[in-house]
Amino acid sequence: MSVLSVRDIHRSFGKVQALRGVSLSAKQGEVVGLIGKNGAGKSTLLKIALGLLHADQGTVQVFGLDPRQRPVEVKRRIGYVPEDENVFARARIQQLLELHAALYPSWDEKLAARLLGALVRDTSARVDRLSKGQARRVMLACAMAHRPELLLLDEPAGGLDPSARREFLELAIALLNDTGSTILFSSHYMGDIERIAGRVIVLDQGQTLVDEELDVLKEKYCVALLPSLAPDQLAALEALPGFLRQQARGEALYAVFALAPDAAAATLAQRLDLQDVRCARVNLEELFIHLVGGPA
Amino acid sequence: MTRALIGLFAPREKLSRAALIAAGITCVSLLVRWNSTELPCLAILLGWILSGSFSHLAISELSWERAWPVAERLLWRLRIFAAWLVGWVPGLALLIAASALYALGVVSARTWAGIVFHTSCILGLVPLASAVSYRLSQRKQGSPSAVALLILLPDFFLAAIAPPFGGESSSVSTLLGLAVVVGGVTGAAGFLLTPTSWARPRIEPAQGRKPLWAARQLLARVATLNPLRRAPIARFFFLNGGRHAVFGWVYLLFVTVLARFEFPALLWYLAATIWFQAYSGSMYRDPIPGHLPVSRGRVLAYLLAPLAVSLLSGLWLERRSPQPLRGLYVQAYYDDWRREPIGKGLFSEKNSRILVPSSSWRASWGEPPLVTTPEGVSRRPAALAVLPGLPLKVYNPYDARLDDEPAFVNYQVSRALSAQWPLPVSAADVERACGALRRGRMSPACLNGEFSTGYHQPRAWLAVECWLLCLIALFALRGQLQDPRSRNRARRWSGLLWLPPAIVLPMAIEQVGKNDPTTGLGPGFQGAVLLGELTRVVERAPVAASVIGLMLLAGTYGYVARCFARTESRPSARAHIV
Repeated sequence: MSVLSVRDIHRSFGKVQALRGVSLSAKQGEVVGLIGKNGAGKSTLLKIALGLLHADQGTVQVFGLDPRQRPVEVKRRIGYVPEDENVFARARIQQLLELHAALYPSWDEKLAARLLGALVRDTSARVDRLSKGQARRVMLACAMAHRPELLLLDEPAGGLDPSARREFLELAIALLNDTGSTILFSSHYMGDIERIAGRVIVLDQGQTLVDEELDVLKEKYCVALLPSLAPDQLAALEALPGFLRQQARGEALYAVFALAPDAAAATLAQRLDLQDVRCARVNLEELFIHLVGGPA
Repeated sequence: MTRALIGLFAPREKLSRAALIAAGITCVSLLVRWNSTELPCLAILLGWILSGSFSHLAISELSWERAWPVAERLLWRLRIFAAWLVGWVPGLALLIAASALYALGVVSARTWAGIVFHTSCILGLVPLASAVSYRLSQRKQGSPSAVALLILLPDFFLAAIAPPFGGESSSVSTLLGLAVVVGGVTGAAGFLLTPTSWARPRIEPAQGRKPLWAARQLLARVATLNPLRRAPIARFFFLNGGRHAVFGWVYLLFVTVLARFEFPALLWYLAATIWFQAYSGSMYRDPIPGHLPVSRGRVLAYLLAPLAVSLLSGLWLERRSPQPLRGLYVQAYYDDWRREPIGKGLFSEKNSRILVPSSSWRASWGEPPLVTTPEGVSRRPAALAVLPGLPLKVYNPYDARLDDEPAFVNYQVSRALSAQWPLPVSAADVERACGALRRGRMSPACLNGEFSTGYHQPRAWLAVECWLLCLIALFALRGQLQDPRSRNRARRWSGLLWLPPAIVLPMAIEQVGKNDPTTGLGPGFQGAVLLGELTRVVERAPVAASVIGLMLLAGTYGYVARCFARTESRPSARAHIV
């Protein structure tokens, strides 16, 4: 059964279309990484999943419930860390812990202490007096200490130094192992995605460009380096099976295919008569840049 | 390059300019209409506050701009120039306008002198304050609003404490000034203190501070006893601990000390509403209800509970506390030293021989009714439109103009006193008791010996102020729930419609509470008259009025609750700013 199911979501902010027909589902224990350029709609999608924002069109179900109709029931089973925002800036750590303990029946004080780490020694400190990394840590502790079934993380490691990020990822993995939580998280750190995500969704201009298992993405996607093409050749290229995106960079043209390198090279040779084209698998970061790295 | 930098630092935001322009226009129109210093100065002060808040004085840009290849001295001069622009342009405009109006004979010399004094104080302090705040901002980081307040703070303070040049009632500006002072100090404290308390080593209690330290430890231990119970309290303090909530508390404090209220229950209502305005604002700024498993209905109840407690306690206080002996405070003038009306052709309370508090004024749709003496002399009281162009008018039913005969004045005074006192007072009684005075103030003191017995202010069965404030508070909350991303700009701004009644109602309550016939005319006065009319209606049919009032409240609560449940959390940190 899907923990999270989003179907054909549309959402606009004034004239800006943030989401245009996005669909996704996440099963129990799955870790889904959301990547996309700034403004691609990642945060909007997470907030709609939580019921903080409403979809103009489409359906959202969390644990089989509509988060707008049954908000309290749904939120009690979710942990959420917003993007680069300390929502309780004026509160003290102790106050936050008390508040969350009261709100979540499954609150685990030992886990909260573990997640807080050294901060647990001085819980009288105000959140806005903490360093950015420490404040994020408090927010993570508040989001995770009730062992949520679904963890929604919006750029959770934004602004954290590499060691703090690593520590956070380890905590998330530990939680995953302990409770079998589903995690949906957005990040600009491809290394983080590669480290913990089992599935990757690439959003671009409010649409799902790629939704694949990470292993599949690594194995079956490739980038071909092509010479500059005439307009009719470009049209033929875009009509090729498995073609995703092309970007001209200088004299060269990079084309992304949802095909293994050999299959992509064979297709190019057969349909466009381009011999000896170099097709290669690339890491997630390269793939992301070739997919969505152009002008927005 | 310097020109480009000036353009960058100058208050370019539309809201900043709009606030200044609106303040200027309001100020001049108030000056013409009321011929007083108080309201125009308030308008310009508010304009400065809003403009300062919106203007581009964010110190977070300091480190950025200091990286430019520009001499630091030039940056400093430009910053000061920007501050001067904010502070000086409206001040100079006001000076010019006031001087022109004085030259045309529209405003009196006293009013003109008051405007000049207030404006000069501000013009003098702006460069000084801006220079100081710039230096401060170079030393440590802080919030932009703190810097804006630091610049504006001394100006308001001086304006507030300088009533001798024309502030008829300085309480409003004093309150405003003090609120800004406290807000500024709070902001400045946060600005000056090092924000990295976590980096400080944990300080063990010194010998001299041991009891305090021990008490804090005890409190901390008690705090952990039952977190479930404490959570609502903690949440309450989240909502009330912010700087924006300080204004409400300050108002509560200073109204108590300064406002010379005769009716403490009114004070409660007033303070509770002002407090709520600030308090409910924090709800929208802090996205607490967003992701936590708390239903919107419960959050709304949390938000409204303090207001309800305050208002109900005010109601209880009004019912239980002994009502003061309250005579109608009348000022009647028989002499002709005021023959020259203040403000040519303008409506002014000072053009009347008889002054009564706002609660004794009446409202009428169209022209007020004629007053006819037993001798057959008829006069129509002068009326003042509640809003220009609207036939709803307020008038003093006991009005006697400067050219009226003493007999008519006696008749009107007798009517005024009979309306308030339980005994009938005739014109002959007035003539006998106070005729010898023939001049100056006629108050209960004049007639005390003959007529003043135990008198109790009639009470509305369900206090009008209480449920009016509830309504205003609910609509204020509704106004804050406007979707800032709405496509419809008019709908987005409609959330601010609650502001005029939310401002006028406390002013009206203050007017009623003072029971003072010398308070100046203005929106608060007109609001107080309408409030008095509503109170009289409730007194005539208390049960029906209460049922209607409660139904209205319940309906509004349901409406706000429905809107609240549908409101989205703000999409990002700044997007909620309308």
